[in-house]
Amino acid sequence: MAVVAQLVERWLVVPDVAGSSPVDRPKNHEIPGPGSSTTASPVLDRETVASLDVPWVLIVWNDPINLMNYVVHVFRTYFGYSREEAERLMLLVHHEGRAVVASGPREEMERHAQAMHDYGLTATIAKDAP
Amino acid sequence: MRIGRVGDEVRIEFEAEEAGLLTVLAQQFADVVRDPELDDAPLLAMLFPDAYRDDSEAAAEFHRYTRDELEQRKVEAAERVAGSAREGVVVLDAEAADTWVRALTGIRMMVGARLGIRTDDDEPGEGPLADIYGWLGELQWVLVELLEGA
Repeated sequence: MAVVAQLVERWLVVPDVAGSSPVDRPKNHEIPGPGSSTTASPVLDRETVASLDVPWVLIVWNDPINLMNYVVHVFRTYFGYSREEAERLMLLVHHEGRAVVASGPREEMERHAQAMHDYGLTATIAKDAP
Repeated sequence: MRIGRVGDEVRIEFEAEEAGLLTVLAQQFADVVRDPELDDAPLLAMLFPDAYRDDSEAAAEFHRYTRDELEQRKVEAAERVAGSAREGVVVLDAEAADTWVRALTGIRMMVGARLGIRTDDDEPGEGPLADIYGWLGELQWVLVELLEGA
């Protein structure tokens, strides 16, 4: 991943305006996240879910273009991960070259992969290692 | 260029040449995605990676189902940047800012591919294109910081 030095702050101007607190941070609704699939969940009780074979994982790979904060941003907005978890996964990708960022049914992992490719991240699907 | 956040909006003040550059690059990106040439293979491999590394059949199938929509969304995002970048103040709501950061990744991939950046060890080097690459990275970095509420 590419790292941009903090020198960018030289032209970063954040106006001191009421209402610009982080609490008002806008959420991204452009791409349906994992939460959008919850409409289907009421018909699946816990036992049904547990009985499903879910041997697929989504892997995000390191690349030389994407910025570290952008990868965190994608993990947070798309998967809904906390900042800590998103940063942990980003650093795994950065240092280990890849990280498993989701697991579940194959169709769901393919949806996630398409979303990652939409964001410009390199993502693949694989069977979970036994 | 100056960037700031006012409420839910991001405001970018572009110089004329910055806005012109961004518009040209975004249009070039849309053109390359729509009508790529043989030289663009490395870029296309980054923009539309294989979703399966050990199963070429499944990878081809995935491409068949996703490529058109991915192409369309990448082109649309770039065209939105090209259509709204202008000299002076550009105001982006949260949704537009997110489209911009997404488009900037693709545009940076295009410029990075031209600079021969293939791994983390590759440096952009020096020259106008390397400067442009650095500038695009700074713009994307700050936009993301603002979206993340930093």
